[in-house]
Amino acid sequence: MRYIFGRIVSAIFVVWFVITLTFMLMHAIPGGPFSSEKVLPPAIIDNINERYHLNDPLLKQYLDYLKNMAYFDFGPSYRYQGRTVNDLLQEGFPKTALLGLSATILALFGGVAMGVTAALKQNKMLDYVIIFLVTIGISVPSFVLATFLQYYIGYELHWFPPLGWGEVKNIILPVIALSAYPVAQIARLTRAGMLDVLTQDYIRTAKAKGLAKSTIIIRHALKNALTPVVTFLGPFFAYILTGNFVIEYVFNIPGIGQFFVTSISNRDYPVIMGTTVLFAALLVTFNLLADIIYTLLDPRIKLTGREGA
Amino acid sequence: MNIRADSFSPLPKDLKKAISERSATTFGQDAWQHFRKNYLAMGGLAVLVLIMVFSIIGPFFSQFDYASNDLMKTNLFPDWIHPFGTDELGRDILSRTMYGTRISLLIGFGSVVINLTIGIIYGGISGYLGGRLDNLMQRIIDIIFSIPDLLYVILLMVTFGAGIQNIFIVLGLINWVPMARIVRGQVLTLREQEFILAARILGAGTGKILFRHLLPNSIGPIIIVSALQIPTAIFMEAFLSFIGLGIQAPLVSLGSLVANGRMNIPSYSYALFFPALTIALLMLSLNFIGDGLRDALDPKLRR
Amino acid sequence: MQHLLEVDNLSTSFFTYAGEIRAVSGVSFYVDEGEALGIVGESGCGKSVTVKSIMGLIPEPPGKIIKGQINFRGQNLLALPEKKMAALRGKAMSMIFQDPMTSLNPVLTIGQQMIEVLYRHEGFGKREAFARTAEFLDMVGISDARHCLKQYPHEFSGGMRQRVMIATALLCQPQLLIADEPTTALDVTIQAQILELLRDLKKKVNLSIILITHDLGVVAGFCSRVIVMYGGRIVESGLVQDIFKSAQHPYTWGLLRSIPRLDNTQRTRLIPIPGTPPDLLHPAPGCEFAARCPFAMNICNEQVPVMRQINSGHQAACWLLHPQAPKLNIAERRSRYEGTSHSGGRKSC
Repeated sequence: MRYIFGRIVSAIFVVWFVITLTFMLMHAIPGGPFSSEKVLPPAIIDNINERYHLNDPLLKQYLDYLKNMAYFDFGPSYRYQGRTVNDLLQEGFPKTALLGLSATILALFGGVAMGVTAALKQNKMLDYVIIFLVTIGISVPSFVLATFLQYYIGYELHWFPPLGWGEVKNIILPVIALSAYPVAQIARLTRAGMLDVLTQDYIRTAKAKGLAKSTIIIRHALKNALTPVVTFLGPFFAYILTGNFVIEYVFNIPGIGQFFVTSISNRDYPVIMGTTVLFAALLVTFNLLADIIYTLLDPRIKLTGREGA
Repeated sequence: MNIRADSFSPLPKDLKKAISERSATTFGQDAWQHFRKNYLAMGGLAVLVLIMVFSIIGPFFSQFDYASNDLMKTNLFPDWIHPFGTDELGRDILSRTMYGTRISLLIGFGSVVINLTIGIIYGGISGYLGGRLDNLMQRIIDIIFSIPDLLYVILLMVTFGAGIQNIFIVLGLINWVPMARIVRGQVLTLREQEFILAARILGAGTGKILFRHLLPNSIGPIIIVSALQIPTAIFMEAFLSFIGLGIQAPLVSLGSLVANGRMNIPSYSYALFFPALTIALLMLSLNFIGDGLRDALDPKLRR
Repeated sequence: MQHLLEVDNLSTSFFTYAGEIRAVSGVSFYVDEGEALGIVGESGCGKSVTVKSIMGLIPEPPGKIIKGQINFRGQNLLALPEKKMAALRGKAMSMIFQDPMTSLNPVLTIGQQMIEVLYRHEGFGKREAFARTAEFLDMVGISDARHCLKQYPHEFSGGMRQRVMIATALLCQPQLLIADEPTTALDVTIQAQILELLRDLKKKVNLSIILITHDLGVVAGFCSRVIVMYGGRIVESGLVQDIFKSAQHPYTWGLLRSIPRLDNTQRTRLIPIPGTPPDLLHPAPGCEFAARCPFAMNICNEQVPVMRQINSGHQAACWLLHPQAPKLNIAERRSRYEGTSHSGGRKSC
């Protein structure tokens, strides 16, 4: 219990750190958010600044911002007139979540299945095929893969729509593009974990006991082999979240990721800050969950302190 | 059975020694032997060398500049004069790809040098001095680590503005964390060993122990991490350029070329194809080399 | 009379990227019913590979049994398909291993790991399996069986785990138990307890045991016959008293000298055999022990010595036994070893 409490405190600290960092960075940018546009009369700029509280002392702005964050109020958007960041996030979140969740499911099941198959067929043809696919998945940047899929599968072959959102067939290409890297990583970790576990003494014991091969693999090996995969869950969620930026941008899906990328070129700082903070909060939550799953998988680790791994 | 007169006389001492020392390979030879037998890694090395030659020497043989446009020759299909075709402004995609690869390689290798420097100093100090300072330094790393690098990189790029210097600065500021972790771990385990104690008794200073004794002994993991950081840096730069935060025109990088090619995609796919292929090959070969190095330098992982 | 287990000219190699490692070459021996056979030698001498070949536990690749025959109850094990082999393992012949700390699966309870053997080989129901498991745990000296079955291996000490391993191995009442250095990883007092337990069980259930160890002292109190292995070959074999009273191979002499003896008042220091174990990647053309042997002769470096019968059941493979070889007396044997151990000692200090 104390361990979990400590983890929650440090998670809150991380989120605070991100809030402060984004606040400082956004205010360190030379020129206000509106200075880049066509030259406006000083009175109007003053007016705008007044409206968005940009004339207040920095400390007051910071404290106000923190307070609003505590109530999950990310403030108004600078670009989308009359809309708040919350509106945008609420609108985008279901799409991003659906995309992320589908990619997560595909990555976990596909990755583990591929990894186990490769390990069991070590140095055989199937192993090499999987290693080849895995290497491509790890090496080809998601935006390159997304663009290729969009062009060849979408525009050339017309199998799936290259753009847009709303129907089931719209989600296929983005999910493949988004999950390629995590599928590959999970397959690689599972394969390595499996190969490592298969040389362990307790597997030899299981063989010496005359157990069936399937029993040895499923009961004795798989659970142990998945521990490195669980440690990858943290970076995995991070990848799914950041990977979304570019996937939604390429496939023109109106999710949080696309708002984020467009707000970067629009210099819509509240959206940038809000998205960053939201992602940071989601991430620390996921990491906490991954840690808890880890302890459930391995009875040796108790939630008492920082584990060695 | 063949028995001679002296068959049963005692075996000479030196011959005995020779038998017992039939084989001895050093760690470096062993690692190289292992690496050489790794066909994927050797293939990766060959492809990397080819890409380097292509991008570094290639531009000297090209009659086209990466930035000069020719509005009479826009969107040409690949032919003998423009093997990769031209883009919407009539620029030669081959020379643009060569220059773009140059920038990507420069950023990949350059930023790793920065990471290496910061990471070794940070990790070395943290691990060697230990105690409360180490604790504090590790908390800082934990905080940085709990948020994806890409998010920081984007935020910092938004703040600093696009451009090649800023990419170096930002990648340098962020990517040293894994290196620092590895170095610290190495230093922590090595610190307790006897030869370090011996060096300290002989009066060697902290700096000398760090650089003369600890670093050479942790060189394996450092090489592995560096090799795997290069593709990460190249990926980040490409990503930034792709969303318009990285390299700015007229300079080109593989990321901005892919982004550029995407704009014209339905009609002129080759503008996308060649830069995308180059970046995929580059990442592929660097990853193979990194994996090969890891297998060769880390005997624990062998099987 | 037919032997329970008969190994004939067994050779097992490992094919690594560096080349072929000949872990075992041309090993032959037998085990009778109710008999305890000891196999001794340094680590890497091929003891473990020999018994793993018998159990069909050689990982393939990189390992491979290149030739030989293994007959168990008149059945050639090397010709058996893997399925039939698996049905024998854990039922007719069982094995316990050196390191009880790693030999049990950390994520399964003791009970899960024991009962699955009974499900597999005996087709027991839950209740039956549970009763049998508790009975066997009790037999190996673990009293609170019901509680233990729910615990995980990391909650047990090394000695306890080895008891669990032994109980698991005996669950299906096998005829042959192979114990691969069962006490090496344990504390001295626990070692004695485990050996005592094995001796007890052997009497109770008429079990044949192959005991692998690098400690001749353990063999002396446990086995009736001993095989001494070096560099993948058998260098000497015989009854325990033959080996201890009239050993013929210089390597056995060396092993005997390295046993600590309570009755020896003159010398309390343990004498190791100087030199390093052989490199089986590059097998020597002659005797593998020649490089470390204080009596090595020219021929030892050229030709592999043949096995010679000393008396019934006692044989050794050494060129010193050749009729033309110089005869050594006890005093000479002692002085030669002294010489090498002195120089070896100085170098290592």
